[in-house]
Amino acid sequence: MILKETKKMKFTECLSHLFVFIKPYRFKLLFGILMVITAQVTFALNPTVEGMITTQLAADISAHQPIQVDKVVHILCILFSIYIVKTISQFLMAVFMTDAIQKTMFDVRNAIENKIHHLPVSYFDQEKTGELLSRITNDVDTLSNALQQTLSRVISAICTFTFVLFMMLRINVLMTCIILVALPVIALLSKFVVKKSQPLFDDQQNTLADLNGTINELYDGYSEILSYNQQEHALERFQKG
Amino acid sequence: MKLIWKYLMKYKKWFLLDFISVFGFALVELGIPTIISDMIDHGIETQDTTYLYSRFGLMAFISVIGVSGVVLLGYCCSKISTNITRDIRNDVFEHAQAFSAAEMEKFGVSSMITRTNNDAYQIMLFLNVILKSALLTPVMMCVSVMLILKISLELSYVVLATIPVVILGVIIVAKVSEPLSENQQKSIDHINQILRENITGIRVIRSFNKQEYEKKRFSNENDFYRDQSAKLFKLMSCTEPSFFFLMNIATVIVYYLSCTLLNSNAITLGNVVAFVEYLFHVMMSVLIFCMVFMMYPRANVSAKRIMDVLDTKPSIINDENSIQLDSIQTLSFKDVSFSYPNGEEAVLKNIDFSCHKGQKIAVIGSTGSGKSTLVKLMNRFYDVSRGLIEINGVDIRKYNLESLRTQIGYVAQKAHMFKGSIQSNICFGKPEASVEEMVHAATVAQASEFISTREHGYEDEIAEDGTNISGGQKQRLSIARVILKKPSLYIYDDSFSALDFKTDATLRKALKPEVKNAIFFVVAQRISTIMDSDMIIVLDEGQIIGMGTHAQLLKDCSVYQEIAHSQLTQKELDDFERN
Repeated sequence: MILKETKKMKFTECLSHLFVFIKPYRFKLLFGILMVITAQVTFALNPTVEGMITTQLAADISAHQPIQVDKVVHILCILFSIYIVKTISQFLMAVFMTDAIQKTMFDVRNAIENKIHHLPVSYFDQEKTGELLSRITNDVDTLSNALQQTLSRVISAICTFTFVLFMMLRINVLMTCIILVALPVIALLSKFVVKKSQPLFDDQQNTLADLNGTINELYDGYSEILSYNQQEHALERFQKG
Repeated sequence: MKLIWKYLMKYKKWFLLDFISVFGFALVELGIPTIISDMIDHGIETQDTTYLYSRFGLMAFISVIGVSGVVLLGYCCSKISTNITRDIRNDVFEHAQAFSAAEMEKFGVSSMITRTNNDAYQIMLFLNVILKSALLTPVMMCVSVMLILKISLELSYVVLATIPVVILGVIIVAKVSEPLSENQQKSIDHINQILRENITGIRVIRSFNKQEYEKKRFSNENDFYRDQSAKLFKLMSCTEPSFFFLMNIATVIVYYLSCTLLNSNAITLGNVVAFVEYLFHVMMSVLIFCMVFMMYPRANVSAKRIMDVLDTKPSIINDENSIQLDSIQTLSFKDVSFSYPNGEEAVLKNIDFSCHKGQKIAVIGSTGSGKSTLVKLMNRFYDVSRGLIEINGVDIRKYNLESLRTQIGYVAQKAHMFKGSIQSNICFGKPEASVEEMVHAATVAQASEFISTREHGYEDEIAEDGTNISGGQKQRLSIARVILKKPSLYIYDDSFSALDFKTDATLRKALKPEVKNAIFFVVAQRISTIMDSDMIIVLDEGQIIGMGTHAQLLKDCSVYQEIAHSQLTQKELDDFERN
């Protein structure tokens, strides 16, 4: 049976499969992403405007004249409007992205349920119930959380990097270069961490599935365990798992 | 919370280490802005480069300490949280092993599974957050507040005014999110249950063409889950922007007010820059601390579910002065009545009979007449509601449960196989049994034939829940299990139903010498299985309506006559009489 060779899907293959589910909601998702980018633009502008305030204050101080409050207020108004744009775009992002993602997960779950009713019965004889259930519920959960929380963060990070880099260059090229040197070191470090942790994550999910299977079995057969006084043995098996 | 604290205390040393590394982190986060502010005021304005470099060196030093602190923090908290989760899972399972049938039914198998698995995981997530953030934030909060007070009292008012707003916001969000969280968890329980039913009952669903019905049922629950999750996520996602907006307003006010203060030389420019940074830390720590509180309801729901299990005392426990049961000589039911814990009507009424070793007793009756319940009471899976069950003249409740169960060999209607070899399944009750004993048991149970046709014989693996063997094979294996045990009371609850007539007859014949010194109790639907019993009990709607030998009942009991005539021809009945 083909089932035994669960080939490790390539990441891009996974994404294209996922995209099929996202497709009906892609506009909501795109709008959400647009909002993320908008928020990021404001994040990038923030320090610059705040810097303008500090510069204005410093100029007045070194010229030994009283602070020109109206000029400061002018800058503060700009700052405030940036804040408003930021907040509104974040609210909109939350609403649209959540809707798109949750509806996608709804479809994914339904698709799984439908598939269950189309698979041959022999499939279920071969696969362990507990493991299958674990895959359906835990893995779907993980995917849902990943999309919900990670997607916006990934996009934010990309935006932050681009915009902030642009702003930094505008301020001072030399300082920017120093930071850029540090970046490859950080990138290498991250790659190393991911390489070590990915198999651990896989292991964790697999162990979780195994544990689930064991739990399933030991709870199902509890009356047998009871009548044969096998509680201790069951406990050992559980603890090992 | 008490639950988590109880487990946390087992890891005091790691907890302390965790606490220490928190300080390292605080040092970096707060130390650096302070140094920068210092640099602005004394270094940049005066163009004092040596001073700047010394400050820079200090900054580098603090960073190193801070980073090591953070790494240590990550390590400690993962170690603690995973260990605690493992401990909780073990305790739940261990406790559950002591449960009797009533408790298991109260929770349900699916729920027990979710609680052991999922809820423990939720607690682990929560612990992770606590050990990292919840310890960090009070420290950060106190130090930042001290720093801003040192700079300027007036400006501090602005910052301190935001704190009650933040707290209020968090409380509102928590109150709204708790029911959503609980519903979400219940919903995922339902979804899991439906999936489980769909998979295990797949043959039934397909043969009755109920796929559409099941799909619809699933879809409805799925939709509810999606709805609750969406509301919850939106709520949570909007809290962060709202918080930062509040902070933005505070920042604007601070800048505005600092103009006047700069004019009166109450503060320096460096102070202003640092102040904005501290303001961020004060509010951030308040927020994170509150977010932990928001995670709390979620984790609390899980903790409560686990406490529920741990607090449930098994209803069937050993009496303080329990006696060991060596072998069962007599068994009697004295005016026993029983209703299930959730049931209203009595399932068994005024059951009264006795039997002794060497006898074969049978119970017959239509579906729902209470036969399986009778058997459960004999096993002491439940205790009687009224009346008394006596073994060797002593109340069954007075016996040590373990010794009681050792003396009873119960073959259930639906035999459960465990993942493992055929050998491990047969020797389930007596793992140290010899190969001869096992083969003997299998032969008597008419199972040795099909075992020998399998690829690895007795070493052959049985899949989870015995999906790779037929119903009849499962029954024979579970009969072999019981034979190996050599109890003094055999209870067969409709265990011959999956066998054809020939195997049924051969099996019973092979069993006779094995069970001649024990009580042989059979629940059956087939008259042919029980015609030779010493006593037959006829149950109807929970009451005994006939008791006696086959011949007696055929004469006196109308229900028995009906059953007999519906299953056997007159000729077969006459043949038996003549023998």
